[in-house]
Amino acid sequence: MTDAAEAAYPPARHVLRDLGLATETGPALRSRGSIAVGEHLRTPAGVVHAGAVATLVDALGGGLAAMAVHPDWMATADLTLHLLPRRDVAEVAAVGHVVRRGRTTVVVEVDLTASGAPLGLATMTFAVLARRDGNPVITQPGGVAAMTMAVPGSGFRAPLEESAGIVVIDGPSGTLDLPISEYVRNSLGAVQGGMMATLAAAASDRTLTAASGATLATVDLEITYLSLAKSGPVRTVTTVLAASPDDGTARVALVDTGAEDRVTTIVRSRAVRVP
Amino acid sequence: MSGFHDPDAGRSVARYLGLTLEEVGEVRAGGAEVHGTAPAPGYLRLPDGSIAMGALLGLADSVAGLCGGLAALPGWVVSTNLMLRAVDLDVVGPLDLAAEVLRVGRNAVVTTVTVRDGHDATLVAEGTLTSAILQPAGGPPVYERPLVLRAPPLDPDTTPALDEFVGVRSVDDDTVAIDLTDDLRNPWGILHGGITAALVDVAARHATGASRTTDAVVHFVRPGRVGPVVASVRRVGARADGHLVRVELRDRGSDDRVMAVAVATARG
Repeated sequence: MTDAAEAAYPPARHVLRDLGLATETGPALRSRGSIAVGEHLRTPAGVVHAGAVATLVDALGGGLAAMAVHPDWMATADLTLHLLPRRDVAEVAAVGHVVRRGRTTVVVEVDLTASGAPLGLATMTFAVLARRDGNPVITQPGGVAAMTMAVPGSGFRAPLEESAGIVVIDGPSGTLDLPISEYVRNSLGAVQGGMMATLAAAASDRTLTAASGATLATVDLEITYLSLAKSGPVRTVTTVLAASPDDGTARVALVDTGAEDRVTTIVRSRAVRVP
Repeated sequence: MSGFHDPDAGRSVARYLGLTLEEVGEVRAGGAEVHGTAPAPGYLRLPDGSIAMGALLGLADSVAGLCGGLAALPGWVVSTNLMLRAVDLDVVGPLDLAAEVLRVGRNAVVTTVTVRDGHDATLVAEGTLTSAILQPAGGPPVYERPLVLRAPPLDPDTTPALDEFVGVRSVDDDTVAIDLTDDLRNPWGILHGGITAALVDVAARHATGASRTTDAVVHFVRPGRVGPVVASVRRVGARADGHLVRVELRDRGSDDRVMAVAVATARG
């Protein structure tokens, strides 16, 4: 990332900075990233919050896609995340690569590990867009480029959902709100894709735990981004598709209540019992 | 070269699945709604009696793909990403499918698809298909609107099971392969997206020994043109709802190019 864009986004108080996302990007459209998993990134089930991992892979994949399409720009079209419900995760390591750079789309795959053992997989599709004024400039480095989003003073002081400003309207029905603040915006002024995932995972955790009668952790997110959420608050409308004491499946629609309740994102989630 | 000039080209898969497609609602530019009905015969079921996820993937790709294609006219579509999550695979049948457009852009169309058991309207599966909009040489298919495409019933006693129809063979413990026969091609002349997705189901069950696949995400990254098509499975790990696997499909006859990358869960 270069010059003015680096200074402008993300701002000093931003979820990407509090996550402490550190990346290494190589010249062959491959990139590594990691986040430390402290107490504020864990769910009540004791596993890493799926939203935190989604934010990691969205940022990593977005950087790779931006390099792949340069000088054009891109937007996330879909993101899928599948995790193993491990309690022993102190750090999530992600290794991403571009599977395919086509004329209109880029597909990125991310392998996730913790302590050297598999933690899960993520995939993303990015739509290629014509560059506009204000889009950041991200180019492939000649060698390996290392960077961190963390700045002095960054780091979570409260759980991820609280830090993001998520408001639980009714947990069992999966109704949550996310007011739009600078903390959760992306460079386009809309809610960052990883924060939309975090909101969906928060709704999924609550509604599937209530429906199953056991504490479940969201491990799968299949997200289709339809439009940007710019007005807010963003509200979750959650439907339980199936639930048992071992696992559950839900559909979460994320609507922009400030834009005539437009459906901006559709998510299907699965939560499982943590051994 | 596409087969859009021939209304029968690329219909073999839909006929095998017994899928009748019907456009419903108002015919309009930039939108469409398509319903499908299909039997749930024994040849589409697994040994435990459940409907094969591979069959559902094929049906979902066909219904949602047609829906997206109608919305994309005068362009036409190829599948780029199919996500399908099963809710209850123990169906009575027939299967009722419904697809509608969520968003149409310049280059892509997104459709949602639901599958219900016609016996009692129970939700069987639901998902999302994203398709790229292309401009076929010679123009898109010409359909009378509202569109109805009927599939005559097949004899369940003589129709091959899905694995046999597709021609799956085991390569090793983690790998299966098929030849790319004409029956498996779509109107574009490439491997049908539904068959690509069905192969993910077959490969996941083959590698894990699980009885059924319960969800799949398939990224179609390049067309399958020559074959054989080889599906290789990497086991990521186990959890309460089954084995999480990554499946990669390559077209051996096209410089071993990666055709599709998929993630699936297989259980039982």
